[in-house]
Formats: sequence, C-alpha cells, structure tokens
Amino acid sequence: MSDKSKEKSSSESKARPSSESKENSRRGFMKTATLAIGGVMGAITAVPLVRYFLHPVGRRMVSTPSAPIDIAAASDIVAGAAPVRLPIIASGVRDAWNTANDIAVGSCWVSKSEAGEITAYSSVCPHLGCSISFSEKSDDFRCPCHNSSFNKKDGGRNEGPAKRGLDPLEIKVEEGRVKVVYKRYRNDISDREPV
Amino acid sequence: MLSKIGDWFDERTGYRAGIAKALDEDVLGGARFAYVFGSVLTFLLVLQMTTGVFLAMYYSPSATDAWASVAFINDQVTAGWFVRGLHSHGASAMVIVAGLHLLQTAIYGAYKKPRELNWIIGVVLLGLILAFALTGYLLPWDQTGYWATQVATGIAGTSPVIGQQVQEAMQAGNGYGNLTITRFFALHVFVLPAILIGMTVFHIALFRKHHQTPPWWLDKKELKARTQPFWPDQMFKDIVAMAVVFALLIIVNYQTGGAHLDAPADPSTAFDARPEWYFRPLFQMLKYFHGPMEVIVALGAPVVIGGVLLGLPFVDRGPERNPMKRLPYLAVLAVGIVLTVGLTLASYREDANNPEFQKAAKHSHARATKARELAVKYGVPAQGGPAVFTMEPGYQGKKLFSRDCAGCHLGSDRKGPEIASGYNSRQWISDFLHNPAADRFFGPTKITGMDPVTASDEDYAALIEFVYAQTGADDVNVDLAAQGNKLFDDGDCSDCHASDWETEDEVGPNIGKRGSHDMIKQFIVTPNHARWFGDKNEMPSSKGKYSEAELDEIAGYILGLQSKARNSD
Ligand code: FES
Repeated sequence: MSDKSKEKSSSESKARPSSESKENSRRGFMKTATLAIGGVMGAITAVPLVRYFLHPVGRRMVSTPSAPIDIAAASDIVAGAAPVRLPIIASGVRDAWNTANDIAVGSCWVSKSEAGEITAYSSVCPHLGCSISFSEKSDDFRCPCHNSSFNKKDGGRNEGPAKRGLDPLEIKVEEGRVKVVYKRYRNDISDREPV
Repeated sequence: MLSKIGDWFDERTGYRAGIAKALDEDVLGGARFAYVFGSVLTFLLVLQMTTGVFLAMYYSPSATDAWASVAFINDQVTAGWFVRGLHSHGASAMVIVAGLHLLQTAIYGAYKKPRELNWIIGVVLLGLILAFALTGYLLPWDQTGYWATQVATGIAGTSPVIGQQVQEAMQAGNGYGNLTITRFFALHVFVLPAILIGMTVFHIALFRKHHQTPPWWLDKKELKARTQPFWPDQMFKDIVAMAVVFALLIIVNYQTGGAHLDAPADPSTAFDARPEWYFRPLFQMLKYFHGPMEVIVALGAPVVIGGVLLGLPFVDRGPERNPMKRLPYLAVLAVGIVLTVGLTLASYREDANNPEFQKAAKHSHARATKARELAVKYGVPAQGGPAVFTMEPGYQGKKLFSRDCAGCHLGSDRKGPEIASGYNSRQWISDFLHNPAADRFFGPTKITGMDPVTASDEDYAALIEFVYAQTGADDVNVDLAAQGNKLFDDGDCSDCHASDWETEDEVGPNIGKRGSHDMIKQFIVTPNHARWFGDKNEMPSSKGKYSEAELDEIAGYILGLQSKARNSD
C-alpha cells in the first residue's frame, strides 16, 4: 500500500506536523471501523441464511401417513411361493410444499408361509440403500450393489457388507386386505433406528 | 500461523499486492458521501445474488409448483420470509439507489468526456435492474405477479408488425404456463445476472480508469490539496452508507413482514393487477391514452426516457460542470422526475379513492391469507396453486352436498328442510321453534305434528341454547343451556322428544347430539332410524354410498354452515 505517501501529502495540506499522528489514528480508526461494520453486516446476513439452509435438517420433509397402507388382497399372495415385490403406494404424501395421492413411496418383499402367516421386508438394503432383489437361483435375497445376501426365511444376513438383516415391516391383515406400516431405518448400522 | 498461511498464498497468488492495488486510489478533493452510491449498489447487488441463490434452494419454477414453493419459503422455512423479504425489498432499494446514483452523476457532470461510455453503461445497467424486477415479479406465480406481467407482455404484443411474435417469444407460446415461468426464471437467474455482472465489472473498471468526478466548485490546487486515499477514507464513508441502507432494509423488512405474497395465480378469477411501485408511472400513463396513442405511448415512453438519458452526454458537451450553468439539461431530468413522481402519486391516489379497488384488494388479501394457511396445514395439491382451496375442510363436502343433497335441501323445489348458511345456528333454531311447519323447515315434508313453541323470551333463549348445545358448538353458554335442559325436561318438549341420543320410537325425534358431527354422519347413512323420524322420513338412506372420509367431509360442510350468516353465500 502506498498509503504513507498519500497520508503525507494530505497531512501536508493541513500544514501541521502535529496533526499527522492525529490523521494516522483517525485512519486507523476508520480501517478498524470499516472492517467491524462489514463484519457485523456479514454476520447479520449469515445467521438467518445458515438457519434457512439448515431448515430441512432433522425435519420430515417427505412424510407418509402413519396409517397402514393397503398393498394387496391376502388371497392373492400364494402360500409357500417365492417372495413377491409389491409397491407401497401411499395417499396423502407430503413432499415439502406438495401433497399428493397415490404416490409410490417404496416397495416390500412379501411372502406367505404354508401356515398362512404373511411377512414383509423393506426392499431398501440395510447397507447403503440399494434396492434388494430376490434370486430364484440361490433362493435368497440379494443386493446388487455390494453383494449382500439375506436369508429367505427370516431376512437375516447371510453374507456381504450389510450390518444387519433385512428390515421387517409390520403387517396387518384387515378384512382380507394386506396392509403394511411403511418405515425406513438408518443405513449401515446394526440396530434399527427409524428415520 | 495465520500469517504463514497468508504468506504461502501470497507467494503463489500475489494477492496482497492485488488488494493493495485495488484499494490504492486517490480520491481527488477528498472522500465524500456523494460518492457512496456506486458502492452501495455493489453491496446491494451482492446481497441480491446471495439471497437469490438461497431462494433458489427452495424455489421450483413450474406453473404448478412455483406458488406452493414460494409459500413454503415464506411461511414454513426457517427465516424464509426474511430472506425472501430482503430479496424483494432489496430490489426496490436497488432501483432507488440506482436512481440516486444517476442523479449524483448528472449533477456532478460526471457523464462528460471522457466518461460518456461509462454513463451509457450505467443507463443500460439501470435498464437491467428493471428487467430483473420485471422477470422476478412473475416468479412467485401469485395473482399480482401473474396479472401484472400479463400487462407487460400484452404491451410487448402491441408492437407494430412483430408484436405477436415478440409476445409469444416472451411468454413462450400462446399463453402463460410452465414455459413462461421457466423462461422468466432462466432470464432472471442466469442470463440477466451474467450480463449484469459483466457490465458492472466493465463499469467499475472504467470508473477506476477515469476516477471519480471531483467537485466542480474546487480549483485544481484545492482539489489536490484535499485529496484523500480511497482506503480507508472513502471506503469508511461507503460502508457507513451501506450499513444505513442495510439497516433500513431490515427495518422495512420487519415492518412489512417480508415480501407480499398473493393467492396463487388463477386465470379464472378477476384480479385488479398492479405493477411494482417503480413501474407505476408507466402503468398510470397508459390510462390517459387510448386507441393508437396507447401503443405509441406504451412502447415509446421507455424508448424516449432511455434515449434522453443516453443522449445527455452528447448534447451537454462543454467542459462546464457547474449545474447552475447547465440548467436546461438538468431541467430535462427534473421534469422527468416530477412527471414520474406525479404519475406515481396519481396512481396511488386513484387507488386509494377507488372503493371498488379497495374492496377487491381486501378480498384478495383475505384469499391470500386463506390460501397460505391451507398450504401450511395441508400442503398444495400437485394440480397447482389454486387447488390449495380444495384442501379446505368442507370443500369436498360442499361438492358432494351440491351433487347429492342440494336437490332436496336447497332452492325452491326442495323436498326437505333448507340446509344453507346459518343452518343450526341460534337464529335458525329460534326461527324453527317459532314455526316448525314453515317452508324453510318441515313445510315441504310429510313430517307434521310439531306446534310452535310458546314461551317467555327468557325461557326461549334458554331452550334455544339447550338445542344449540346439542350441536357441540364451542361457544355454548353452559348455564343457559342447563336452564334450557330443565325447561325441556319439565315442560311440554319432553312429552314428544327425548334428548339422550339412546331412546327410540318417541313421537318426535330424539334431539340428543342433534346437529353434531357424529349425528349428521349417522343421519345421512340411516335417516329412517327409529331414534329420529323412523319411516316417516322420506330422505333416502345413503348407506354404503360414501366412504368414512366423505361422510366426514359432508358433515364438516354442514357443520360449517352454522357459523355463517344466513344468505351469506
Ligand atoms: S447397498 Fe446393498 S450391499 Fe451395499
């Protein structure tokens, strides 16, 4: 900065050597004040912007009704057959500003035991969230992403990087209709922590 | 540590010298508040860009989503109203400060040689700011923006020869829709900012080349003697001015509760469109011209204003900078300012003195409030903004009622009692008790036998309150109702009516819970229930016809009539 020469020239105009130090401290004050005012203005702007940016954190921006969702007629699911993937189609889905009906929010693998008991597993891989498929060949659930495989019988983990078995979804059979309580859990931990 | 990092960067970028050079500028004749406007504009520009980017994080440019997303920002996102308000009021601030900047430049004669080009760039920048305002006004896709912008594109459509093509290019097609909004959005956030930033850089570079125009009243020697460095002397004044403007912005923002947001754009409604305040003069002017003159004025006025401004440095050419000696030129500006202010005031005055407009404004305000409340509570249906009104409890019910019930319960061909605004209100109950066989009540039905109730005024009030209490209304006077209950039980009423909900097969209907949500639902399903009129009731049963939710809707609608004044629909 060629500040000094300038200060000299302007203080020369005042023609009083004693005012030079005064001038210097005045400029020092102005520099500090300028930076301070700028800093305060920046902070006043930044605080609401950061809060604004973080608004969705920890909030349910996409939410489905908590009531069980109808996925099939109980009679359509064949006892003892291989699991079938059924879409979970919710009504009244809120997505930020929208509300909409008949929105596919996910799917589940549903099967019926010979005894007639219906079970459903979320098709979201508990590892990192890829979509689980069922392999007829090896007769187990497989994730195509990192080759986790899961037991057909209880959804337990057979092999691969997943830290837990498939997430079972609560099933309710009401008046011949199969209804599922749709839930998602945190990825890649051994416990089931709903999100 | 910090200085070491600084050294590392400095060695590789030379930023210290860069900053020093940027700040090293002599202000001939000394720092002045008259010079702050450019810096304040730069500050506002940065503020607009920042808030704009943040708004884009939640904004969705589509005809069906735009309003809903803006309402979401405004009413639900943390500090959303504040950010949006800053952006909207910041635009107004830019227009004002740009005007002041232009005025200062004109008074100081700063457009004179060799600075003519920079003046021209400045005028173009002013036009760009207005283009920002115009495109931004539409983006919320609310009533105001939608209708006001229709006027703007409509004006473009009146251009000679290629009018229609111009209009279709602006609105992207034959009418307003998704493409209009994506087009305006792309202009507002990509095209205009790119041009604005480029030209601003050019503007500032030219300014640095020619420096600020010093006061005309000081001679060379004096100017030199008073010279001060830009940093910190001028910069300090600049930032003080920025802080003042910023503080004003925040105050205005708080006081207005952020930016205005009207009800969602709805082509099927009437709306008194008004442009942003800075377009008011143009808007007002159009009222005075009709026929072919309208087109000439609408398209000509901006051209004339732009032309006068651009031409100024080429007409006022001498080296003289004292405004007193350039009065004729400055007078042109003064006339322009007076006209602008006059037209603006006239426009606002006209609105203020127009009861029709005031009424419409009040109505649209109420609609906006309703729409925003519903959006917060229920979300906006995917069909688009105006569909938010279908989320109102009772809306579906009203539709079902109109379809299935109104035939017998509304109008002159009724077969049943009238079910309209005020149904089951205290007034309704009073009217009924005074004359149950009236046309509004059992007149058109086969149900007969109830005599008008005779009682003292005081007892009447108590009885009414007791019957009213059955509906489950939340403003029941409990003591009065209890008094009415006693009269009911002790007097003639209980000879024919029970009031406990359970008892069946009395002469008259059981009035327990009469008019409550549950009762209405059950009555719709089994109108011939022995609790009420039994088989005397001609109303057909709707058993199995409606879902539980639909019954709730219908009951909700009917219950909603209670608090409405009769004949208010
Ligand atoms: S996501 Fe399924 S194994 Fe990794």
